[in-house]
Amino acid sequence: MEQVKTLLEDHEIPKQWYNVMADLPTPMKPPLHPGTGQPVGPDDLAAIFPMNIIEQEVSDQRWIDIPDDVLQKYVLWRPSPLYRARNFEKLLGCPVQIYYKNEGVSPAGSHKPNAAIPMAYYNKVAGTKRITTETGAGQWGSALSMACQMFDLVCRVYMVKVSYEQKPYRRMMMNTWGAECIASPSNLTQAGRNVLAEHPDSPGSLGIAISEAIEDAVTSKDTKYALGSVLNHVILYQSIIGLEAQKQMQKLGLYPDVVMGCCGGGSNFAGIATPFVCDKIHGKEVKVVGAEPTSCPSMTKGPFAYDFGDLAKSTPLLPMYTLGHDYIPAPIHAGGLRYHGMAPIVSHLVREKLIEPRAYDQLKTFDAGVKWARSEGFIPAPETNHVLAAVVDEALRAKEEGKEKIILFNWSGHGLVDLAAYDAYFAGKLEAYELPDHEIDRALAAIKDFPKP
Amino acid sequence: MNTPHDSKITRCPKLGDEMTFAYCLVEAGDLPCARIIACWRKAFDVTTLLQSILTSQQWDRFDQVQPKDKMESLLELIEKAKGQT
Repeated sequence: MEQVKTLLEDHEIPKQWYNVMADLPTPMKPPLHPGTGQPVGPDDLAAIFPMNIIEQEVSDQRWIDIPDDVLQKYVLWRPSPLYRARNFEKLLGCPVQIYYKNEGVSPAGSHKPNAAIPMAYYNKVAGTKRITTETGAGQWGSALSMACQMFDLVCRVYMVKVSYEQKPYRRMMMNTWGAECIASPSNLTQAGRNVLAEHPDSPGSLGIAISEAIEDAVTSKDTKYALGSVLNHVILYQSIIGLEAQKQMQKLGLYPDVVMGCCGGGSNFAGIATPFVCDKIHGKEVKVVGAEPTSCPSMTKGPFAYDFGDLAKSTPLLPMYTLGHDYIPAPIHAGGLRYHGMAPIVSHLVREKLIEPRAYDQLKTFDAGVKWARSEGFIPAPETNHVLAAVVDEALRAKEEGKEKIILFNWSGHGLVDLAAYDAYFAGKLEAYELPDHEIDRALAAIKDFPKP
Repeated sequence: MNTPHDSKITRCPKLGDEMTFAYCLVEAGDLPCARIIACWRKAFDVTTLLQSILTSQQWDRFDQVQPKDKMESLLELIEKAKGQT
């Protein structure tokens, strides 16, 4: 029998998170306020986050102790197993060893609880009694619901109404964990009431749900808001994935040639990547690859610049990979690809050439996901399929180059609550799409005079 | 806004869920989702369809929609919510 899993004992779990901010070759540029041009300060965020989390958001301390109370919750499923994907290796027939962290073993089925648990903990310590958030199909909302229950906090999740109605399982998960899951728009907030007054049958949107969650937090006593992606403290908490992986690879006497993750808001990718980026900064030879959809080329094709959030230039300037505020590639409407912000830390690492971004269309990602399910058994979340496409790509490159490679990646979650996506794929309803280079060039010309961080 | 494509389904990258084209048409209230063309253009000529079903005023508003990045949205919403207190 061949060894598949590499496990760590509970007591071997890392006791500190790693903060890549401390090791950046050049410091991050902070978000700027468009009115003053000054960095956004802690007070700007104090209405929705407790100060202990804000301090971590702006911290450049390399190692941050994980509180014992958080560790005690983490060990319910952490350290997560490191698997060797022997069946997938055989299927591909390439000279690669493929290892992956299985984050689908968490109670919520994804990497999201890695951040939800410390958020709930730090809020509890700060005196917060109640947390609000928004959720689309419910992955983040369910993770936070579980975390709040663990720390005896009241949790209200504003879930986009159309998903609330058509995707009940994560709503049921939230209820099971004791959270209140509200279909958004609701009549509980002014933002919701305004929408309902104009569109009584509104199916909701993520924008409306965020508005409701923020308003609820700002206007309610002892209430704060939690966000599950993009921000620095989320990246920090997720570093537990890569830190465990380092220990597990060490147990095997191996070190990866390539480390990979999929990029949505950047949290699961940064989680596995940042400890290895630290190694790379300090001289280790390792390639770190982030996989994103071709329809959202936020890392692969955009330059790094300060970008205004709107045409009126009234919102803060954030340094990130961007296609520009007036990006209107005909015939694609600007908004279609303007939802492009990657976590600023990830954008920065790309700019520093510490991370290599790659983009894959959704047909290729689902093809890889189905191959995975039919060889390794676990059905991946649709987002996880992006990194699987990248793994296939890297394996084929190794074959072409005639090189043996060790690939490590983050299997960020299972797809058991997302099977409708596979149904759509099998029904031939999903399309491949890649933005043409000449359209990208045209869009980028619009921001050529923007300040470069 | 009834169209022959209303019941078609795609994966919504904003919600992480499968949505019908009919939803995409009303995601932003009386305007379509800002991503609608990017998400559907390979399936059919969604631009021409939108131009045929939106009023010129709606099209102009739709054409000027600019989704914001997360931090920007948060700061704006905080300021707006403070006005409710």
